[in-house]
Amino acid sequence: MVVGGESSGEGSLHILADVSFSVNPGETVAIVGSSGSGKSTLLGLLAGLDVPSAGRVVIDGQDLFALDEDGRAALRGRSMGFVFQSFQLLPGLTALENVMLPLELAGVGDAAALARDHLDSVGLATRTGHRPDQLSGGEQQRVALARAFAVSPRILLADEPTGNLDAHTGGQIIDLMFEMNRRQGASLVIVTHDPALAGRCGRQLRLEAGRLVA
Amino acid sequence: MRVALPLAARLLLREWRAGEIRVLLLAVALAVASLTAVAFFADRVERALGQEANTLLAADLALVSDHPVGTALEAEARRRGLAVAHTTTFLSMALAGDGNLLAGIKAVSPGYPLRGALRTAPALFAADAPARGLPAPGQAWVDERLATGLGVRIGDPVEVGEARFTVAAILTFEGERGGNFMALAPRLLLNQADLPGTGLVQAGSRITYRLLVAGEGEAVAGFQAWAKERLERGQQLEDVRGARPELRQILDRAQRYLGLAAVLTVVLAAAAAHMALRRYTRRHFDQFALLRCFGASRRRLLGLYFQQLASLGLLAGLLGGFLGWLAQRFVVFLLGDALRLGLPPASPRPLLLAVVAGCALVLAFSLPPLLRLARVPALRVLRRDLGPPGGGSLLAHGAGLALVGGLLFWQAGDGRLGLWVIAGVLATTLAAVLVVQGLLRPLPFLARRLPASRHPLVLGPRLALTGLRRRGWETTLQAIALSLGLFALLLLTLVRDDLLESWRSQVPAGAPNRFVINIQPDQVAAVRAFLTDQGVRDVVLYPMARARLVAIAGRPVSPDDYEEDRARRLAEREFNLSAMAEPPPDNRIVAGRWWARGETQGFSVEAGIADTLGIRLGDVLDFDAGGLPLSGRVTSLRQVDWDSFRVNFFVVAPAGVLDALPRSHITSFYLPPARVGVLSGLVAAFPNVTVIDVEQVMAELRGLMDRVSGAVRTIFLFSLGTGLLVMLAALYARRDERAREIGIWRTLGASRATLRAALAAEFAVLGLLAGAVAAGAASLLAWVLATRVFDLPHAPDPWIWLAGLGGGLLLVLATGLAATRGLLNQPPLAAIRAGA
Repeated sequence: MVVGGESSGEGSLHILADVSFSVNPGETVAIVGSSGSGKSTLLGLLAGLDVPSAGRVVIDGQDLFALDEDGRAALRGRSMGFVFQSFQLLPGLTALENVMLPLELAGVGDAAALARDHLDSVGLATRTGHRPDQLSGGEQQRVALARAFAVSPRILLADEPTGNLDAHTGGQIIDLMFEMNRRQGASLVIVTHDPALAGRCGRQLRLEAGRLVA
Repeated sequence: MRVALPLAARLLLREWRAGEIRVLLLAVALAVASLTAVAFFADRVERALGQEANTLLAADLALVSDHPVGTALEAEARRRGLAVAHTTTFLSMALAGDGNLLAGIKAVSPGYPLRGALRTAPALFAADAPARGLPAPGQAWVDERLATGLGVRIGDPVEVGEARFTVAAILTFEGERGGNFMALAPRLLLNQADLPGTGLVQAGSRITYRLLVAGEGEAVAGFQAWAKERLERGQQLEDVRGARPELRQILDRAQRYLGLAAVLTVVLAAAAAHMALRRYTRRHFDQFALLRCFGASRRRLLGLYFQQLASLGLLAGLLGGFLGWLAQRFVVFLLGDALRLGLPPASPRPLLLAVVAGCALVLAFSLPPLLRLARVPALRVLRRDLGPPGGGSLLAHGAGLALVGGLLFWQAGDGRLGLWVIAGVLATTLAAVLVVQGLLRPLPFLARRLPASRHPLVLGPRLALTGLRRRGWETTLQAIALSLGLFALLLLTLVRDDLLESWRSQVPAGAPNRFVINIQPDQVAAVRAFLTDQGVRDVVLYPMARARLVAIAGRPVSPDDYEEDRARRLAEREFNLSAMAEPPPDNRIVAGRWWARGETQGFSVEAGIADTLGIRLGDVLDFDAGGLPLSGRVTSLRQVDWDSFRVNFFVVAPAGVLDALPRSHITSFYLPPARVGVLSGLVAAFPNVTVIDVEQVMAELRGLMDRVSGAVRTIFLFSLGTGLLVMLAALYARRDERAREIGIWRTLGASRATLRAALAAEFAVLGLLAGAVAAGAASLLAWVLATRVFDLPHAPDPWIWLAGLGGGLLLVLATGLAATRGLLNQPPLAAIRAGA
């Protein structure tokens, strides 16, 4: 993944400027910075969820913004997994169904069995039939992890994955995330405030007022 | 191997299990159910009323011919499974002893009447009962006029042509003759088998042949279309609307009311579906963003949602159709005999309506939000504050409205009605927007004027007022839905009242039920004295002379000058002229002026006939009364209520003008059933006069109106139910946000009493606003509908404002508090989390 010279303009305000870096396969990168420094904006651009006024994001040689909206969506479906601060599980669906969702969208044949395996690997084999409101925060984030890794992404993008969890549970989630990442060999890009989490990544990128300072 | 369901179906099933979609399905299904219940019921009532009315034609359809009806038509009718009967009518002298009288002879075949029943009495002026069968060969049934005219009793012989019959019964009611009794000669009914024996059916005789058919609605309609193509010269088809104009108006108005109820139910159902779907799509913003994040293309997601919603519409349609069918069954069961209509079984047509309506409602109201949903940025997964760009596309809204509009016209069955209701709905919506937006602005100002107190009754309303203002458009939207609900209810009430009132006044209690004709000029004083002695009040005898109109404004009148059938008949026949000093009580002068006392010149002409024959104010009319000329200028045109059962005339002259012409007198009066003995005395004292009894015809008409009124009231109840449903849906729509707000307020220390007062104040304001808008819009549209569509007199009803404001306040308060029940008891944290 190569990121170069981005800038996301909102009116005349530049949220990000002169941000260039690359991420190698299997590498773990933390994007850190204070609130409002542009971390989440950067993550949105990396995922192709937002479009910059100038700049490029290249994934496996493919320029993300040379694709149209649907092309970017297809690329996301093929290569990316997501973990969010607020878990983003669909409230009406069970844990199993939440994990099955991206698999079904990708047209995977036996989505249920695969999803079950992934829930098993995050230690939730016995909670597959529970809905999000019946699970603790830590459990919900495990389901989100299972969902993110279910499609075997080449890149996992995580937005403050421990932001809504206590330190102990957050630690467990981080362990699990790194463990799964190691197994699958994906690149990991994490936006976080948490120094402990940032410290476990191979590299830290610090954003200040929209500029990369380290 | 398990068959994999399409993804859309799997998602739908999961949502169903999650309960999310059940509320929506139920809301749409209930909307469809009320719509279908109205349609089912209206369909059955309409067909029952049609059949009821057909008893007055003695058939569903009559082919009237001036020559014998060919066997091919009868064979075709039988082939289509229709029941068939024949009647043959002509005028001939009936003789009994020394007496003779011109009578309307009617020969009927077995099976007659195909609809309804004849009524007979065992003696003159005796109590009557439905007749069994027909006169046997050799027997005749005669009506009261013929019996008194000929002076015959049961068992006496009567001769018609070369045949001799025995009077076997007094015929008291013959639906077919209806209100047209004046034009007809007294009746003699005989068996078709006896017709050849009279020797009266010969080439050149003026005979009317009728082929009557009855059966299933579709078979009758099919035969009607088939026969219409094969009518010969001198033949025409008549159904009850054509044959009995006084009933047509009742039926048409009833049908329009059912149409109005159905249309308003469409509007209400649409409002309910809209509110429910709004909630559904808002809750799907996150899901949409997430799926986009997972790589689903916009087109694919739209396809998925479209399939889900279409299946949902289909399910809601089927479920709603079934519920609607159950509901109307239940209402019919509750009504029992109260409706006094033998309802035919439900036809499958409303079920089709249910399915179409289910799909149309869901798609119409989910298309705009769906397209809006498609524009939800996937970035929403990272930033919750991002929603779709505001406003749906005009095209999507247009398509949705067109779908509902189509449904509306389908239900209206009358283009004008559909258009007016659409106009009314738009006006109500606009008024709600203007009123609410206008009144919302000063609300915070008002709230600040409330004393600074923590008392629930002060703090609550303050929270409510600022809240209403803060959620400006959300408040407006709710007010629109509530206004539409109340508008529909008030409008249906107003039109129903106009309709019932017009029916009540059409045949008021005490309306004349007996006519006396053939009173000779020298008997006028004696007859008046006799009737007054017997307690009959306000006896007015009108002179009546028969005359033919020979010239209008100097131009000779010939049937060939007119295209219209009615005009040709009028130009051919003799008029009954009358003369009077004062206009009859229910006549209205629409042009010119009534003559002053002492004036002896002029004619007052009924406006309708003037229009038909091309008579204008100021034209000189020349009449020929048995060789004696009578001329005069038209000095006024009158509007006459022909349904009023009073004596009325097409052409009237000033009192005394007819004195030189051969004439008789006529009067009408009301005679209570217990006093029919007066009639025997009258006939005994004045043997030449003829008494005509219209009691049966009026009873029949009253019965029909009672039944139609019952149907109209019941349909109204259905719509009432739908209106309540809409309000519940409108108030339920904001439940999520409300839960969250309540959670936050409670976290900040607001007591439950304060919050309850806040909710009550909010609902009260909403209810009053919606009630005011609804009352205004409903009064306006009720006036328009009465004058433009129903053709009814309409007086503004100030009570509607009280009903609108009071009803709005109570209904919204009650349903609103019901819809938010339980929210106050939720722990604040749960509420905040649920709403987050």
